[in-house]
Amino acid sequence: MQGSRAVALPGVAPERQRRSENLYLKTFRRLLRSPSGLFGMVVMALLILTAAFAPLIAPHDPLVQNPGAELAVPSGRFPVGTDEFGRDLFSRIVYGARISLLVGVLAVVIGSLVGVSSGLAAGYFGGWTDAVIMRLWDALLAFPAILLGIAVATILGPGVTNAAIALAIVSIPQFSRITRASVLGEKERDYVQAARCLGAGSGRIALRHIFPNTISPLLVQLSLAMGYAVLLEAGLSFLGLGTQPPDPSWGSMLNTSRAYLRQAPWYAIFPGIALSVLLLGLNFLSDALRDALDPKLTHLR
Amino acid sequence: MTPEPTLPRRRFLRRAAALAAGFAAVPLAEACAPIGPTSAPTPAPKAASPQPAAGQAPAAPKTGGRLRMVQTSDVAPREPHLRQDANAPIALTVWDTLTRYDQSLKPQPGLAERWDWSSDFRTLTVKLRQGVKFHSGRELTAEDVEFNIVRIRDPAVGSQMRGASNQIKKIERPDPLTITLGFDKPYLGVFDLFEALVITDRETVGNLDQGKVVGTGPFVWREWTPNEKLVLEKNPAYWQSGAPSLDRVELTVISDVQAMAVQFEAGQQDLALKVSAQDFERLRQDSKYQSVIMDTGNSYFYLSADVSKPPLDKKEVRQALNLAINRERFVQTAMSGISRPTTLPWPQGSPAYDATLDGSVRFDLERARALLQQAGAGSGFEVPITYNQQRTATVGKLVEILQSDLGQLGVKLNAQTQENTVFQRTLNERQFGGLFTHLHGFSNQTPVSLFLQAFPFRKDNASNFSSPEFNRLIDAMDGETDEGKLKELYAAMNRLLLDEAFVVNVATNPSYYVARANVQNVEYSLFDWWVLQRTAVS
Repeated sequence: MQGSRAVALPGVAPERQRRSENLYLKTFRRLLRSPSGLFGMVVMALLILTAAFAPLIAPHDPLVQNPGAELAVPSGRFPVGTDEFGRDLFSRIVYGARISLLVGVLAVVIGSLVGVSSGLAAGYFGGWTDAVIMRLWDALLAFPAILLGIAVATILGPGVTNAAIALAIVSIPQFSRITRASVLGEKERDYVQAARCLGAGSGRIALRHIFPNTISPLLVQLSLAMGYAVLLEAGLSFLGLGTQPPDPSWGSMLNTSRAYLRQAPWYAIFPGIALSVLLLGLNFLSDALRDALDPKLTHLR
Repeated sequence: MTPEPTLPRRRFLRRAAALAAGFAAVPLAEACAPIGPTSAPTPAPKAASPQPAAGQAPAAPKTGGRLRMVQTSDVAPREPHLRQDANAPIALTVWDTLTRYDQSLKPQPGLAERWDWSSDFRTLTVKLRQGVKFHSGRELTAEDVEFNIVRIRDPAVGSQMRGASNQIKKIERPDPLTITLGFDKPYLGVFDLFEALVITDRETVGNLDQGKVVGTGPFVWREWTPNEKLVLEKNPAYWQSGAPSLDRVELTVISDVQAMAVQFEAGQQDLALKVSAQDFERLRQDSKYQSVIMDTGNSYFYLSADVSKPPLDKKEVRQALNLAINRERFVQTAMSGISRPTTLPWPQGSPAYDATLDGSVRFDLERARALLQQAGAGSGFEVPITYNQQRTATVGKLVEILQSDLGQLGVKLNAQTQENTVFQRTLNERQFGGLFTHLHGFSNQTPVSLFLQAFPFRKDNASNFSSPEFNRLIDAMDGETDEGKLKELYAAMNRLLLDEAFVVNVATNPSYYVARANVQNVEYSLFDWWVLQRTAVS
């Protein structure tokens, strides 16, 4: 039985309970030992540090234009060149990390809160609750994610916050389905019956007993969803529906750079590299997390 | 047991990373390549004259063949009387107009063969050309002309020429080929209306949305796949002898401007309209192509203020904003130097143009700061600035430059974009509530037409600006025939525009195109509408 908050049952060896409580620590250690997991964690750490310390890392103000230095080649003064307004691209990439982190975190937090709670309700209560909730999310899933994101962003208006909300809506169905599937598997287990016999209410059973045992697949989905959200935000900014000028966004930089591909290819290369590395890192991390949380492997301990 | 995937995830990710690195190497290799023209730059050819004198036999071009054109917007045949850039390929190919201006702003015969003014200039008698037929075979009559003049008065049509049409107070048809127009006061600007009024077939204009596009033009509407392709074929019964030279015109729509340039360079198109300014500058260096700037004064970038919202209600604030526009920088950054900075809404050949006044407003942040302090806005303020989403590549850059420059004065501009339809509605309803920036036309005709037809300059303008002097000047211009008095009125209006600064011009917005060297005799009207009667592809 997994979960850090295992019910103290009579007759269960204390060693086995201590092993459960150390599961997440062990998962973390396994991630560190995995090359892809380590790469993913390093990328995430870099993203967070870059976003947090952007004013210290960026050599210039990302919004300040430098007339006369438009589309400058990479140099000592401008490490990766400038854009069409003479703004330092390196500083804009650094500050763009904030947008990516903000959108990614906001989208997965909102998406997971709504998705997990609805999935929990659908899976635990079943019946009409399950049918209504799942049909609603199935309807959303019928639309391609980028199309749905564009539709929501168009209704709400362009901007970072609205883009994050749009992306959260796109991610809700996946969180809900994963949670529901896990809940369906867990709710027939003995520990749930035991808790029911002891008089625990539905809310307590769902939140304190079942939910902790559904976290593992959700963790994997979190990192996947964040990567997807970052990519979609770049797509929305590319289409003019995400971050608005003059705020820096990797997606909008990629969009604008298309007009200057021949004159200033660095304009597209470096934001493209930043976006690619982040997406690769998040994918590797989710991959490694899935392996690290694989129950077949944890049972070997 | 779960079956092994055909391409395991990790192997896929490794290959994808390698592929991405490979793609990144391509622009890196380009960056290392020398930048510069591959051949000696050739001067741009002279812009073709706006319009051939109607009725004259064309200089013997090669006949036959097809012209493949490409542009980013689809044509909009459902509303022929709403002037839109996208209809430039069809306005004077499928349809025709009564007259057309030549380069010296003198009307030349088109569907109208001749015309006579009464001695008081309040009645114009127009004689139509005999034997002109619509593509359906029916002959053009004065009733068709009357129908079109009246049609544009309908607000549902949304035509910018509604005001001009309403100047005509009486319409009579003494015979099938004669139409007489009566005015309350002299209205020489009626030829501006004729320049823009395409004559549609009154019997089929209600079926335009079914693809029945019928005119009297040199080409017949043959086939249209919306947002993809339009095919026009030669009208064998065209009234102009020996025209058109081409058998066929094919217009392709490619919404992405970079993709359009790629298709053109790949040889799949003969003529590309308005590639990006950067690609235009690059292709200009290549002797394989003709690169033409259509400097007709047809379109201008402007910045306008909704004067009903403080602090934009103070003219000192508006004057300060005018001084804070770095026009030169905008022209270089957004237009790659193709356009020209301007503060007045007139082309240099216009009777209303004033070179001294046009150059009188220079970028000066310190003077702007002083004016803001004088107006009590020295500590800065925040105001929205709205622009059309479709114009992000150009107008969007103006907004970013303004945000940066005005930011130094403590003025925060909150950029807002609106989708085209929404923007047009806001423009019509005058609801911007702050600054807005867009494009206007109507500058290269009789100057009074600007104040009768263009949204930013009318009495009921989008800035909500009104003053007795402004209205007086418009009324005085409208109906004045004496050139000396008109000069004085234009000068007074120019001074008012700069003083009140509720709408200020920023730069010209010329159309431009690139064409293969074997495309000959491409011509265009004052409105940048294509005139292809003599065009040939060798």
